[in-house]
This record gives sequence, structure tokens and C-alpha cells, in this order.
Amino acid sequence: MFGYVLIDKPSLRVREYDYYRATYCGLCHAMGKCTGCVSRLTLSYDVTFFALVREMLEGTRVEIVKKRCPRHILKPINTVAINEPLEYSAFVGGILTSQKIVDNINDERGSRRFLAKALKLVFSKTERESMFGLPDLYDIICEKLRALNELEQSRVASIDAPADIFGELMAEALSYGLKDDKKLIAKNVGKRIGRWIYIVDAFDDYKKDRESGSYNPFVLLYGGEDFSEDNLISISKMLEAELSLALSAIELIDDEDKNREEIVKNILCLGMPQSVKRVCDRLNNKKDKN
Amino acid sequence: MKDPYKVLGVESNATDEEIKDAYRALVKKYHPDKFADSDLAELANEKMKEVNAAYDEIQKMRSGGNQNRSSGGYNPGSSSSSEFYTRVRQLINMGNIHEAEQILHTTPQETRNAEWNYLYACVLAKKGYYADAQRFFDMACNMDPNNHEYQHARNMFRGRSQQNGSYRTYQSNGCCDLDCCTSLICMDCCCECMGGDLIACC
Repeated sequence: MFGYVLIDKPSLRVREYDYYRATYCGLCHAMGKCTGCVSRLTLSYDVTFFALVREMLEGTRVEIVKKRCPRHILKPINTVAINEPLEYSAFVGGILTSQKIVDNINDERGSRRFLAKALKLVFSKTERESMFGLPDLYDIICEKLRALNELEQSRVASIDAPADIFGELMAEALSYGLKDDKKLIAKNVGKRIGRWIYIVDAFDDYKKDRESGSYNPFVLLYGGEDFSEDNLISISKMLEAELSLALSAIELIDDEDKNREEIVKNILCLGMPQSVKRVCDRLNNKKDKN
Repeated sequence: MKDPYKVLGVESNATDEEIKDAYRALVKKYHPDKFADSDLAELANEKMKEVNAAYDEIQKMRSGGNQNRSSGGYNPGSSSSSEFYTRVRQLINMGNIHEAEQILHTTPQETRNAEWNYLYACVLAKKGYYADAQRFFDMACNMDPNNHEYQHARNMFRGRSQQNGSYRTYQSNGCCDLDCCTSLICMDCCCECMGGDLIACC
């Protein structure tokens, strides 16, 4: 589920890239504070995007300070000072990570399962802290994941049904604690992004799941055959539509911080479509080799 | 009410073109088509209303509060026009550019007034003959300098042809290269007049 929400670095202005880095570092510090040192290892660009959108929704004015950390031990670097959205995002990241580990323990067999169990021990503090940090959200997310799991167990031959549940999960996570208009916007953005992530993930895992026999709606829909050019295009179009809906919703937020706005748009309009393109290329190349 | 300039995201000393551009970008952003099946439709609609109100407000302020906003381009009935020109306007509005042009050509050279030039410019602009259109817009404005419709159309047209297709517009606050060189040469000349020299080689 992780690793698709990226920036398109060459298209960012230098000051925007610096801002992005600073948010990334700020999130790392927030994770250290909220969910423990070990959780900092799970820092990802996806959660950074989540934090940026959350900051936009809350209209946070960020403060950039110079900070040292174990990775930048010699020279302090620009970091967004820990604020509420960052802390919140750290908790959400913690919940998602710990749930993913639980999921792995259930799914995997043999040595991988052992590894997942070991990871659960390592991240036990992360799980505990994120559970105590946001108990009601923790319950909501667990419930959505359970529903998703059930649906996957039933091997439903639809991409929309499971994607929608994941979309709802993200909608809840992004809109938690917000009110009125902001809540409505957050729900829309979260839903679209969640759906997008689920679809891309299934798309990307197509070959892997086909061989291992794991649940993948695309395998059921396309009967395990290689994607034709037309299929690839229609799936890309479907993903594009999700992003354009997310963008329309995000544009309803009047963000005073133009850097932040530009970064979020860069991710939505360039970074995420590029991830789709990478997945398409990968699926295409393998086909050529066969 | 909020500051209308702030709503459009422009400075209060922005030119008419800049305001028009900002307005258009926002209209695109909040366009109801984008929220057709969404629960955000109402919210977008409110934003749209706010933007429209702000734009109207600015237009009113700028025209001295005594003129209604002409909603961009030509506006049938806003100026006194004969039946002939009303027909041409209708044709242009319907997109029947070819016929409009033919009718305009039937007018004898000596009776071609400001309105004729303006409408002909509209026809040319629609055809994509931008340089010619600019010329006729200018002509119309010169013949009838007090007509706001012509002025407005000309300014809009200029704004459009300058800013087409730019993803990001960067504003440079400094002077351009030419300014820099020219001022150096000027300084050199001045120094030489006074007996000194700034650039040794010339």
C-alpha cells in the first residue's frame, strides 16, 4: 500500500522541495515523539503527503526550525517544527503500520510469518502508542480493515468494492476531528486517494498475486491473462479520474501557504500519475520478455 | 464582505487583464461540472458566488460605479447599434463566423465606423487572425475612444495573447538584460560628458 504517493522532484521549485524535505523531517520528529523511536524507521512519503493535506485542511501556519537528528547528526537541517497535523499524521501512520504487520502475520506462511511476528515485537510500542493516542480512530480503522479483509476472503470479482472500503478508511482518517466544510472536503479527498492507492496496489501486484494465488481483483477480472494495451489504458484512465476528483476537492481549500499548495498539486498532478506509468511500464516490459 | 481583490487573489493595483485572468482561473476551479455528482457541489457553488460577487464588485469600482459590467466580449444591446450590426452580433454569437464576415464585407468602405471595426476584429479573432484582429480592435478604439465595450475587448484580447499557455508565470521584479545594458551605457556616456569614464573600452 505504500510507496506510490511521490513528488515529481524536477517540477518542484527549489523552495518547494526544501519545504517538502522540511515536512518530511518534521514528520519524522513527530513520529519519534508520538509513537516511539522505532516507528521513525517506517517514515514514508505517503504519510508525508497525508500530513501536508492535513496541514492544508487545518490551515496550519508552519514554523521552520533547524534541527539535528541521528541521520543528520553533523549539520542541523531545516525541519518543520512539530505541530498538530504532524502529530496526528504520525499516529495515523503508526496505526496503519501496525495493522499491516498484523495483516502479514495472518497472510504469510513459514519464515516470512516468523519475520512478521518479529516485526510485531519490534513495533509493539508503535502499536500501543498509536492505539492510545487515537483510540476511536484506531477502532474505525480496524473495523474498515476487517471489512476489507472479509471482502477479500470472499474473493469478490470487483475492483470498486474493496477499493471503496479502503477509500472510506482514508476518508475517515483524513477527516477525523474536522468540522463542516473541511470535513466534507477531507472525506472526498481521502476517499479518492484511498481508492487510488488500493487500485494501484492491486494493479502493481498483479503478476505476483497471479503466481501466488493471493486475492487480487484484477486477476479475477482479467482471468489471469496479461494486460492488453487497451486494458492498461482503461485502468490508467480510471486512476486519472480518481486523481482529478481529488484535485477538484483539494482546490476548494484556500491555502494561504502557496508552497504547500504547489507541492500537493505536484504530487497529485505529476507524482502520482508517474507512479501509475511506472507500474504500466513494468507490466509491459515483463510481457515483452515473455 | 471580504476584500474582493483578496477573493480573486490579486493585488488591488492589478491590471484589468490580471483580474480577468484570475477570475477565469477561479471559475474553472469551482466550475459546477466538476462537482456534478459530488456532495461538494454546494460548497463549490458558494465559492463560485463569492468569486462572482467579488468580480462584479471590482468591475463596479473600476468603472466608477456608473456602468454595468459587460460580461466579456460583445454584448448585444449594450451599445446603440443599428439592425445591421445586431444581425452581425447574432451571427458571431451563434458561431457563424463566415457569414458574419461576408455581411461585414458588404458595407461600403466609407461607412465603416467604430462598431464595424470592432465586429470585424471579433470575426478575425475567432478565425485566429490575431495580429489583424489586434489592428482592428485598435482602430475601433481610436475611432470611438469612449466606448467601454471596445476598450474592454481590446484589453482582454491583449491579455489573452500574452499569457496563453503558461503553466506558471514568474514575476521578475528586477530589470531585464536590455535595461541593464542600456543603463550602463547611459552611465558611461554621462561619465564621459563629465570627463570621466565608466566603461574603459567605449
